[in-house]
Amino acid sequence: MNEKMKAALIGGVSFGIASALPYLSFVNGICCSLYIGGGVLAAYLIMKDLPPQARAPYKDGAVVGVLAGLFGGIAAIITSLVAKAMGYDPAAEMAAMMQQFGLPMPTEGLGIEPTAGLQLVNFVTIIVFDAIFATLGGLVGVAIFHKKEVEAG
Amino acid sequence: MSHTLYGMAEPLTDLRTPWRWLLLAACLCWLAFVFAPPFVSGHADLLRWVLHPICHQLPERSFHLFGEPVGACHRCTGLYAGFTLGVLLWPWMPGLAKKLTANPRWVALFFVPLLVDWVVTVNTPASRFATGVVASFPVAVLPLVALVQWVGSSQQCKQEGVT
Repeated sequence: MNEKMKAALIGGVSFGIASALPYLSFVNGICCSLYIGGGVLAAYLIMKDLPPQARAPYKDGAVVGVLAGLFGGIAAIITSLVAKAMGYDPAAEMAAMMQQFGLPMPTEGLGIEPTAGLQLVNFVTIIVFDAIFATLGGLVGVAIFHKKEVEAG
Repeated sequence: MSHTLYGMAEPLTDLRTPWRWLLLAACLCWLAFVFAPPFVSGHADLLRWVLHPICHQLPERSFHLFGEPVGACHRCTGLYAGFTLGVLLWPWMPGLAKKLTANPRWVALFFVPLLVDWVVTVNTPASRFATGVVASFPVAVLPLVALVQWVGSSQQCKQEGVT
């Protein structure tokens, strides 16, 4: 397995699992932080051992970000299915938390009965959204962790 | 006229790659999807449900059109609008793009107002939207540079294949 793939797997899977875990999943409500975070971590992992370069490798950041997003989306789906099988209901938890903090309920799920077809649509969109936001995370990660080559003289 | 982004060993030329139009089209489609729910009253809930994994969609914190909330909150809408605006405008601001790509960590600084606005309890729809725009506008330069690098490397591969 090459370095990019390994970085994408670690970044994507770790944040993908986090985005489906009880309570931790709500961090994603803050501008998809967990999806973006997976890309940033993957970019950090490919950048940390690279020598200083004149040109930041944004192309590599985008590639590793997309891969992290795809792995992360799949990890999130598997984790959510396992959590559901163990009796965890994210919608009920969300409602309880909103009530606890006196916040209004979001429109999520209003009038929608998640059928098998819709559940499939949900899984596909999770993977697509994770890939999009993790790509941005990968690009931001390269921007942050890129080591600039010091000009001689 | 070709604009060159200096500050790098190899000059990165012209963010105005034709591929940016594809990126811009994708951003506009995304924005259209976010603003679609009020226009398709029969399917508004379904559209919002599709977007629910990426935004809390609290109606009190979302823009309304015709009395219906759009598919994302003020802050997310600002982020998407700022990014789209960035994809549209960065190729026409080579001087600023040059400065930003020479110091790419500055991108992170533009998130500070958003974080402050998120932390303080007293914020308004305008502040949430505006800080979202400010945060994502500079980020848009990064995929444009990635596209230029990608086009450059594929052209280089083609040339090496020929010679």
